[in-house]
Amino acid sequence: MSAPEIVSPIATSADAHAAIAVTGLVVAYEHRTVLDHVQFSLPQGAMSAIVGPNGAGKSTLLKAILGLIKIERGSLSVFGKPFCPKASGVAYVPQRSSVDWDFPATVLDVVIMGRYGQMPWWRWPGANERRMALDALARVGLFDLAQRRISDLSGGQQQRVFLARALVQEARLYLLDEPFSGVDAASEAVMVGLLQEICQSGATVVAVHHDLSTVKRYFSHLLLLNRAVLACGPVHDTFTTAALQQAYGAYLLNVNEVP
Amino acid sequence: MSQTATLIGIDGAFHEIALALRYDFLQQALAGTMLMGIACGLMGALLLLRRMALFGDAIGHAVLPGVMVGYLLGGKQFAWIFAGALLAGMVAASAVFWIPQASRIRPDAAMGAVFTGMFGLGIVLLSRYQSGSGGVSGLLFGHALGIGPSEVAWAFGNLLVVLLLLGVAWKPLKLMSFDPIQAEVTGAPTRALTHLLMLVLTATIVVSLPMVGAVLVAALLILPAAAASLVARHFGTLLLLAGIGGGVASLVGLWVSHAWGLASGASIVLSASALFVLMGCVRGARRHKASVRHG
Repeated sequence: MSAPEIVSPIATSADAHAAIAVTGLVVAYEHRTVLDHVQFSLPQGAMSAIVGPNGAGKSTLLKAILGLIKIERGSLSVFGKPFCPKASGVAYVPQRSSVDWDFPATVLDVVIMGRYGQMPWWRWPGANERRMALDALARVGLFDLAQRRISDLSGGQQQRVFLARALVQEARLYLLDEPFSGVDAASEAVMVGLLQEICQSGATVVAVHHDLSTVKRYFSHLLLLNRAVLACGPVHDTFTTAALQQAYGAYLLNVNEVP
Repeated sequence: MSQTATLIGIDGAFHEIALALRYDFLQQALAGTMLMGIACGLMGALLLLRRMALFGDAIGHAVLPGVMVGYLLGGKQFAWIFAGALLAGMVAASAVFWIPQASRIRPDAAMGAVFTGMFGLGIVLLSRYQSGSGGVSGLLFGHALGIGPSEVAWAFGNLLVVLLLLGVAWKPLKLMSFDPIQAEVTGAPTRALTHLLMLVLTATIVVSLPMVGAVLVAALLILPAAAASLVARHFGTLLLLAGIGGGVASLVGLWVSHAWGLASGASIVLSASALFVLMGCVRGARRHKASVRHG
């Protein structure tokens, strides 16, 4: 395929101020290369989308950043340092389907679990953790459901519980894996508003995102990925027909047709 | 206790119990099975939440060759049997984890292959060396009424270890059970804890062998936990109920076995099954009530 040259995928020297900086990243599963020399950086305080077709390696990229999978080559840094779970300032919101919602716990239990990483092993969650969790639940609009069993929640409510669990971690970087997939419109609106609030307060949001129609409205920055980086930068520079065609194939017609 | 009281049903039963408790062997058996039942219930709950319920079954079978080797090397000393079984259990657990990573074999197939193979080895050793060592055949189905003070002490020590593990690692164990990736991302020592969990599980199974046996121990791991999961709303309640359920089922089963002369291991398992059915009914009734309330 001979697509026209687009925005350079190579990250510039702004890496020192980047929330996430990745250089020369190669990840392979059983000889199949999933991420091929991926190189980019995403700025602090921005709300960035990672977009690309199925199998583009978006979730794999998040997992690589979090040190959950083995990388073949390359380097990754979060706020200028390699990711370290103990002092990361990173909150991860996984795909809803990654856990068993029949687990015996209430909504409040799950959100309090978000504090575990910040607590020494001998301390039990107390009034402080409880208050933080209830605050977070109020922010995602689930305060009234705090004592509900998590198995009784709708998909959108489950996703909001996960967001509340991330909020109590008081992170500087929020990594979300398809936070809006299978989520009702009301939940999506609440979550987008909250994520934008988070960015305004100085933290960074990076989300794997599926819905091309909302990229421009929700996000300030874009990382267009299909095993390699096809574009990275502010949405108005990178969300172009040419770039999207390169990522998704020529049948995707025109960005302007995307509302 | 008066003669007339024994004629009245419930007093009669208490009288029987009081009489029976004079026999040391029964006290030992009751204490041992209860301690074992609590430990099995707790460990089973942790397995159940991680969708590894049948892993206990696999380890139960896989420790048999270790038991035999320990038995042959160390005579009747339980410490030798314990060490051999622990080793075999860890070998089996490692193989079950390693095979799927090193090949295209799925975890369930790896588990089936490892535990049947090792069980076969155990049976071969058993059939070769069984003559004159009747105590070992009890390891297949258990003989709770035949245990001595040392088995009780081992069961007690094991329960302490289980409680210690839960006390120290409650938060990461809970988080790992619900969301292992979150546990890892937030810095919980997931790998070390998984190994520790396997080690304590194997120990729990090994101290259970004299009482319920290699074939039946899985039931005591799964049933109290499954019963508790039908009614528990919190992680803590689930563990509490599973522990109590395991202890009570063991006591009741052993008592029934003693009173009616039935196989002790199987009676314990049956009473755990009864507990499961009972909790199913409780849940059903609760649901029914809720649906009536909501119209």
